Amino acid sequence: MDTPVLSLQQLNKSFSGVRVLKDVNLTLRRRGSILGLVGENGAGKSTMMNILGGVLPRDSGEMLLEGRPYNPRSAVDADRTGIALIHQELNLFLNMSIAENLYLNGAPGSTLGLLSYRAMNSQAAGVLQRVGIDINPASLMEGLSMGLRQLIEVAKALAKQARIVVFDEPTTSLSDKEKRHLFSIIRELSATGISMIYISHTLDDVLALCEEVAVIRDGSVMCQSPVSEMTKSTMISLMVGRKLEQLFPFAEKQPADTVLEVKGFRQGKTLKDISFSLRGGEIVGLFGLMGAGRSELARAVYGVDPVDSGEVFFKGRLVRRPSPEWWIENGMAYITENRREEGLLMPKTVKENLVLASLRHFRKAFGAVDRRSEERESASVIEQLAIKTFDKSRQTAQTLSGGNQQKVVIGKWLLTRPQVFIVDEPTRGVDVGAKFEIYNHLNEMAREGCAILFISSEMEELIGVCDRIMVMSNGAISGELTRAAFTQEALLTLAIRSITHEHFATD
Amino acid sequence: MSTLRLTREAVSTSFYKYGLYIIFVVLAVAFSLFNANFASGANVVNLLQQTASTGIAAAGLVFVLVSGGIDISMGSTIFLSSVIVTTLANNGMGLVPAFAVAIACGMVVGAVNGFFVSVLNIPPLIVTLASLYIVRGVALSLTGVQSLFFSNPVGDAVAYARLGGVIPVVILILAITLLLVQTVLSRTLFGRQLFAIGHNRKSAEIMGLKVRRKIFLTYVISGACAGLAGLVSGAQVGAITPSFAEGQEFIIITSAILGGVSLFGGKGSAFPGAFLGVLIVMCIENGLVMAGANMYSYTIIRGIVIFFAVMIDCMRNTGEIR
Repeated sequence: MDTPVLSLQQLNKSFSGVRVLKDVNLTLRRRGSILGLVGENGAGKSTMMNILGGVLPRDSGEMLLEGRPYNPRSAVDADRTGIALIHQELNLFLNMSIAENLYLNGAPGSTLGLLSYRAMNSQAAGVLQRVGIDINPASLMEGLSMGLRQLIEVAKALAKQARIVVFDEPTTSLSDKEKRHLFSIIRELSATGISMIYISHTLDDVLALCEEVAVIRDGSVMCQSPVSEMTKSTMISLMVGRKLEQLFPFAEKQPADTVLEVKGFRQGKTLKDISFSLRGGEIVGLFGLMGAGRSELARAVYGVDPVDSGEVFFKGRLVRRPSPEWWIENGMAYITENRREEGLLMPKTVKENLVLASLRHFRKAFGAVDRRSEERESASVIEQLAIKTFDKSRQTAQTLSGGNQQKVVIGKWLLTRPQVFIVDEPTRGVDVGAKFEIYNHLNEMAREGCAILFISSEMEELIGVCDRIMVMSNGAISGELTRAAFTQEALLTLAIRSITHEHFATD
Repeated sequence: MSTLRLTREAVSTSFYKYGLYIIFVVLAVAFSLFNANFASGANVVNLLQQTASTGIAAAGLVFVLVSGGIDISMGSTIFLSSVIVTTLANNGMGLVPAFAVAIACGMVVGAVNGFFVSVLNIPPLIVTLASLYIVRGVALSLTGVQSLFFSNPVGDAVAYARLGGVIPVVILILAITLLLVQTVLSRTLFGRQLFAIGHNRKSAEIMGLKVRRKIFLTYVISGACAGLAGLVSGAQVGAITPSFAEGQEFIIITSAILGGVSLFGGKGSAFPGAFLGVLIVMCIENGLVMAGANMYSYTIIRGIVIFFAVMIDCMRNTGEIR
């Protein structure tokens, strides 16, 4: 057998006494192979990736690159040896041109330290072609879509002649079409002999794209085997460490009175005469394709964006001027799509972040904060959502892994004990175990009488947990399904209903 | 959709680009209507000579601003450099050593600023605020709080000499500085990496750029330019009073920002950018003098200019996630 392209042997790493990686073994067997890497948030995937990319040093263990020891001391070392990392948060500079981004660590055709833009741009054009982009490399990054930016990160790896490319959750901010394009590029690169490690929570993608899958849990690699021997459920049980009976818990609830009623919302071209109502104790899904106006509707209801006309009733009373302040005061919580940027105070501790929105509940005489109940409540949320933190009063939000940060934001709103809860893509970028915990929690809240509007573009989860699903298309509600009628086909038909004649005709 | 957004962006960026030229032309026309002498050849050369020192300093500051820092100690560095150079030149130092001393003296101040900012991670506003006072104090202790007078051939050579009897040497020094600075900024890897650092420092670090070292260097360069500016303005004015170049840092910063260099990092140029800013500010001051405006109006108008420069900068930076 050939020497593997890359093999990690007995890799160990600890942070302040906590072992994050335990004797990790991993192999990229041949040139052009794609290895999927799955695991829960905080399992150690990012740490492993950063060690591979020279960003972090390892404590012990060996790395062999085509049989030779590989000891990067910095990210530049990794670059030179041909290992490129594509982080979840892209490392692109929007103030500069595409070509400048590609060659920031060393440019082609420079003489005496002076850059040659002509050489840079012409080489960049060639690299961009390999990832299927036809844009002038001298144009600015600013204004390019997320999909293009993701591909430019890939181009950056190619410009550095990378032999191994590591992807960390590359699809979270891509549309379906962009994702398909990215996958076809990944396949083409693999055919030209570039090996890849593909980290993702979207297990279907991993199964479709990769040759082998490695599952990592609590810092140990549980197994590495060919995808043909893997199924989604075996991966999940390896990741979570127990067998998940079902992915989507559904609970019977007792819908009560109408809590929220929206009548005739209109907003330019984005919202067209929308009316709906939510009853206490039910989970209502809101489905639609990208750009259908789901998030816009939520923002309008919450009073973030103004509407041209329309009324909102809360428990039968007309809300004259809906605003986020008013809703928080009166019991509505809204978790946005961009919860991480919008919802966390990064340098503050986990506990401080958790109690931030509900400080009213912890008020004692003279405005003092009741520390004991603050302690108790935050501890209970951490337990309910299984937030991984070593010390909630010491660890700051910025040091949590991505998924755990999201859980903190959700926990923050849970503590406000809302009567209406709007969640926009609450499980995006979150691992399977955490998803399950989030669904369970939504069920729990609904059982206690909360009305939940669950916005998502994943049909499976909506079908799994909702009592009914509204579908939006092109700014209007194109239909509503009750539980008995839930099928993916029905949802999709409704989602493209009005687009069919307007868009497809012009395409 | 995307093409539409691109063209709209193109329109707004070109407005910001050419808006400066428009402001400059409008100002120039307005002042020449007020006073026929404004557009005269002599006054134009005079204006350029006046911009020399501020232009040199602003060019150096561009490095710091582009990489996301700030340097408010430049006025004091100018003062210190002019004090040292005057003293030494009055005691017989030659022309070439004078330049070397001026630049070296600025580099020392810059290196100290850079050390605290990049190695000890202290916010640059605080570091350079401290050195604004300390450097001026050191210089004052050298002069014994007396005025110094440039009475030596070096001063005359810098201030009055004309190359071929036509182009004043100060304008030449300014031109060379601008050319050098702009080449480094736009045509070297170091320059481009500064733009990257200013736009997103964390990403630059993850990419393995040696961020601290580069930030350190930006302060050394801005100090060097301030030192050179000290020699130029000291020679031009001739008398170094204890309040020499006081508040100059704000004129330098205003000019750079007015010229499109962003206070938020990642954007700007020394030429035409910062230089055009200096020209506009100098035009306003020069025009006010010629229009015989009263003393108080200067500071008020300076304040208004600072306000607008920063306001435009902030407007340009909205809508972008930072």
